[in-house]
Amino acid sequence: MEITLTHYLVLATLLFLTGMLGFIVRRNAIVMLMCIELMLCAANIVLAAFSRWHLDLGGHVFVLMSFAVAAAEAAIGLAILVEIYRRRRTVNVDELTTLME
Amino acid sequence: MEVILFYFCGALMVIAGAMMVLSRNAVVAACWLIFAFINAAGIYATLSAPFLAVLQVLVYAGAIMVLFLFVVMMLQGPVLAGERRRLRPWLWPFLLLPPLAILLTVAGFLRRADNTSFPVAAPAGFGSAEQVAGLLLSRYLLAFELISIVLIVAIIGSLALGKVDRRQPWK
Amino acid sequence: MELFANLLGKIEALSSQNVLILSSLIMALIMALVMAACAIVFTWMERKVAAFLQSRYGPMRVGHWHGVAQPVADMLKILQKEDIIPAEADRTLFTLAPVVIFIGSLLAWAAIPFAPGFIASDLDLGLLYIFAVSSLAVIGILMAGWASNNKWSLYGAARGAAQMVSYEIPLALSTVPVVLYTASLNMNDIVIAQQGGVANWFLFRDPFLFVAFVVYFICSIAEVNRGPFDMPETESELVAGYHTEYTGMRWAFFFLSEYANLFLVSCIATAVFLGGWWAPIPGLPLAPALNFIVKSVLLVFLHMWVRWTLPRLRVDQLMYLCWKVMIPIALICVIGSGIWLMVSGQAS
Repeated sequence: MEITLTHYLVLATLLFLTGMLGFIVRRNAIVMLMCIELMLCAANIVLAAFSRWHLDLGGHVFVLMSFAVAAAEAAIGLAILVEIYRRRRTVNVDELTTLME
Repeated sequence: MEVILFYFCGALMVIAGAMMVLSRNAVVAACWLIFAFINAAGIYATLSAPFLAVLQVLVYAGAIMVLFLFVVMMLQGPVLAGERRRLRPWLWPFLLLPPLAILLTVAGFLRRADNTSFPVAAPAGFGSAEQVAGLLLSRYLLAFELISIVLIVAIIGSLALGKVDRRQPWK
Repeated sequence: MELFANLLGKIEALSSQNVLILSSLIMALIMALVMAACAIVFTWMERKVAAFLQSRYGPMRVGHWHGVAQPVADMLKILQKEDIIPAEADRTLFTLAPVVIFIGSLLAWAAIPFAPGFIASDLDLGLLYIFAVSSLAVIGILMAGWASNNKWSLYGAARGAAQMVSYEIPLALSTVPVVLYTASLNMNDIVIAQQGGVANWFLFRDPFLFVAFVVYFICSIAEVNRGPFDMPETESELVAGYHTEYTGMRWAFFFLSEYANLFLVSCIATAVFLGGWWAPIPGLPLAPALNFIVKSVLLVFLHMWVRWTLPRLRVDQLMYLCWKVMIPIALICVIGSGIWLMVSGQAS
């Protein structure tokens, strides 16, 4: 038995879909952000797997960039959520409909 | 050894991801996600990417998820009111997509006998800190500098967003 | 101490044979024993040092000589305590939190080189691995504070998380100058690069490294949550911080990891700045492990000295110290050390 590239792709697909499903189903904005992090992680695994496949370390560099982007995204996203919570006392995305109406 | 590690970490990671989506309590969800990320480090280790594995634990589990836990604990009670509300009807078809896609991928995976295996064994030092850093500081130097600007902008942005106006303490 | 060194020597001989799994198992067991020994030795030491600094005797009765058996008595007492889980607590997270903290500190021991060849896992990324793994303790603290469902616990956990995440940055940055010198993150390489006497220790290689060591030491106090930076567990404000609701063995886990972490940061300082297992004067007939442990215990003594001497800081002062003093100084050390390396022609 051998671990192939396909194994990693399947794993990443499963993770990405889990994250996507969570993003659709959950109403809590913080948990939705977490689902985005899970999807990013799935993408990172694909990058690292193809980096191993091509024996080119460029993929590892992209994963590092993705770490930095994820950190920035989490910081900004959570800051926005804190600010929203301060004004509206909720982070339920169903109730944050000011722009929709 | 790598086979065992892959299946162990992969299975735990998928389970942890599912548990994150399923747990109503946001703090418990964050803990599951941390567990998933620690297992992701194991996955990176099987891909001969030790540097990424260590950074995964350091950045995700050690910094980003701490931020998440911190905010969840400070913002509200564990369970969001209205979380149980039903999904909008027009979103229902989308719920079928992920299971369908999972079925398709797994079916395709099982049907194909000639899964693409990795070409050769990774050379010594592949994915080590020296090699990645060498690439980061030569070929990808511009991207490296730009990402530092992104981080600085994120720091300033979150500070600006989080700043409380002290002249209006009632807000 | 002699006995301990002898034991280490025996294990060293054993692990030099290529019995990988067996030696890893034995190593893991030894590391767990080291952690337990830390808690036992350092509780007694802490009491005695505190008493000495406050002109008291400290424990004198249990055991014949200066209360040496006091930790044993403490342990027996803790074992008999009732195990209480608050009714409103989140049971799963409450029971899991001490384990997470304990695992976080146990994993980090894998990359500490006590003597030549005596390292549980000779990782290429040893230093980074240690910092990565020890950052898991923050999660345990947050879990404990939140699961207790007690406002003091939550405040303590929030303070602890903010403090540990912040101080991790200067802590890691202050070791970067050393990495510049060795061009390796492997703990063994870092120690081997300091072969020779005191003059070759990274502490005295250049002035920036000395400053970096001071930054490291101050940040390590904050990292292990001890006075004057014990904001997470300030007795006078927060009862006991994040472990207010814990009793008996669960509390003992927190206690154990606190002292294990204290010894851990001292061991890292010894390996990175103070020449690891090398004797202060080359050719001095001392066991390598003994050198290492004596240096680390001296650093632990320094930690205790600071704790029982200085008053506690305020939370905002703590954050000010980290972000506006320690991080800039650490960055200057990195740049200064790099320039020093280039000018003195030691750069590879």
